[in-house]
Amino acid sequence: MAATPADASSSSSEAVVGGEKSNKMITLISSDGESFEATEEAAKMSVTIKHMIEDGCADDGIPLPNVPAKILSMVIEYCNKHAADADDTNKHVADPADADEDDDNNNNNASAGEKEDLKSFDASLVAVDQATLFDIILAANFLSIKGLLDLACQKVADDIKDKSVEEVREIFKIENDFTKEEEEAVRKENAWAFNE
Amino acid sequence: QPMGQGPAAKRSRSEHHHGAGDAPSFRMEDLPVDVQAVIMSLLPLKEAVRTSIVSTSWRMLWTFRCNLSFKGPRYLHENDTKIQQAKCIETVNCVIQQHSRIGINKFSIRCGLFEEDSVHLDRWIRFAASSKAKIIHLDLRFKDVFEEVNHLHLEALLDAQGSSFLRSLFLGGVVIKPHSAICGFTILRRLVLQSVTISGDFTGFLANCAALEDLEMIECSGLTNLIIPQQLDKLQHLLIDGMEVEMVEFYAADLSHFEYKGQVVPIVHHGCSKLKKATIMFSGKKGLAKAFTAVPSILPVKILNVRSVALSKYSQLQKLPTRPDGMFMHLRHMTCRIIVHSRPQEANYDIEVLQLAYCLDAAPQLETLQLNMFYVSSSGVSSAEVVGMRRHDHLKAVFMSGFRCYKAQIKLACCILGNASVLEKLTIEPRITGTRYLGDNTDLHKILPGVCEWAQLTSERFGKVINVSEKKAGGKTTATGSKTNRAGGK
Repeated sequence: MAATPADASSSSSEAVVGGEKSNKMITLISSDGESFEATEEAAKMSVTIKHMIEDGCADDGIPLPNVPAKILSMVIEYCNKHAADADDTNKHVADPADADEDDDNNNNNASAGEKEDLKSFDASLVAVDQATLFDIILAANFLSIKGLLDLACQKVADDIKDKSVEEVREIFKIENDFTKEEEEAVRKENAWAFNE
Repeated sequence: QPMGQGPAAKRSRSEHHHGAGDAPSFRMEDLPVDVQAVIMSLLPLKEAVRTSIVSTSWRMLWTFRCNLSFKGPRYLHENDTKIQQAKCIETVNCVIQQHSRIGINKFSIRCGLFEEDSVHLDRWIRFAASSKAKIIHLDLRFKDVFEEVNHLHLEALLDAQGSSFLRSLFLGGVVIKPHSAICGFTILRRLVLQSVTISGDFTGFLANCAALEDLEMIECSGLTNLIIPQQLDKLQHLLIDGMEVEMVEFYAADLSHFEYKGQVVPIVHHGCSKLKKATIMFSGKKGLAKAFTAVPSILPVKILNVRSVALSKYSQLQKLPTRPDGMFMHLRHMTCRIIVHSRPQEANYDIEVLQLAYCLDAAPQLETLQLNMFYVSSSGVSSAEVVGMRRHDHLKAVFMSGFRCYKAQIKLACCILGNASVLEKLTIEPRITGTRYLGDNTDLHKILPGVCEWAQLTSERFGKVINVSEKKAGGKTTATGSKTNRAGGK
């Protein structure tokens, strides 16, 4: 289940001409020993990996003992998809004439269609079971991929939002281990939040 | 088996579960603390606090939330102000008492405060200081009251060592007494004061905030002169709005954007200027002309925003000096907002619109002009004439909103069409935009045909493209144009 070379090359061929963009492939090794390939551009979405590449530790492949294969392939998928978009965003320079309050936001980097595409990709990436979501968060945190971490954390927050306590316990499979007295005390402590 | 990072291995809680029979799949408590804080911060405060009841391991999660924002009543003379306000105060006190004080990024309270509540204010300040908040926003104004009564001691924002982690500070509706011995705000980047009464040595205090990049002062009182000391050499943005000062003086060698709204006063800027952008709104008569003549320091700008509320008419248009050292030789983009407010039936009630033609003469390098007009009253006589507007060899794009074929608007448009040799297109829009006034846009369908007809005729007369824009929600569409082969807006 490695990221195919086809994916990698298509994302780099979409990129607009610019800076130092190499088509160099980086090998990432999951905790269970599987190897994955990703373009340097995509891999550098992880600040952790970026530093390792820059420090020259990446030549023989980068072992990631904290990230299992299943999660690593999802992470790479995310990076591939977002690497191209991130590049376009960095290139756009603000127009000095767009100073006024009422201006339309005409500074669209990706087209509206591409943005929608990305949004639905993101949504489906985190529409997973809780265990997987947990692992994605840990991986994104370890690899310092801000976009992915924010995305996954937002999903968790969305799972909590507007739900009753029982529903939250259900979703996250948590046992209520408060005693009656303890629960009362907590409710009283923050009465303002529990009274509607 | 998910690999956990973070706190040491906890006993698996799988033994406690029925149902699916697996180990719990999402152990919030095993996430790194800063990730927990992020998740808690993505929930509204109330919901975050409610998670404390989910389980014992979730109980304290919310206390690491990085942003705390509270809102209370802002108007004194409303029915349940007292009750709502008391509720807000209670909530704030409750939350800050339990919060871990770790990792606070933003601490924000927007709630009108009475003088007798000062004990709470002190408590909140102590919390903000001890929790090393990076952003503090305290807006304690009652918006319908004009006297500030809440005293705030700036020193109280410093921690025990006399230093501060504060990056951004907003204070509203308080009384402060700054002085030059307060030197702990060394990393403060942004300072906004709104409706603040200032006594003491404000300039001396500012001199110790050498990291300041953004300073905004809105309707503050107590200062006779506003002097920005030269230590603020990183200042990029300076905004002065509605201050009753007699003089403004600043060094600010790095200043990029200067904004001034208020009476015409001497504005002195020392040193050579890196100013790129200026926003000027002078109250009183002839606001537009004064914006172009009264502030020599803004001459180097590339972008200029001027606002004028034409409350009183005047009879003479003012020609601007055309010496090179009095002109805006670098000005490329200008936006202008004119609100015409004169009493109806007055002659030349909208002469300010025509004044713009002469003001443009001071900007020979201008490339784009955006003019937003709003006629609050529109019955009157417009008899002034523009004579001898200069030729513009760089003006390519002009946009006018609120264009409803009033006489002065037509005269101005024709002046521009006649004198702008490289003008690619003039876009006009009857809709009122670019102002917070609630303009009347409901009769657009009646006005549009007349505007289109004028556009057609005028376009043919001058041989230039005139687009009439009928802005719909989510983008511009061009209605009938004239000699145009391009659709599209600005």
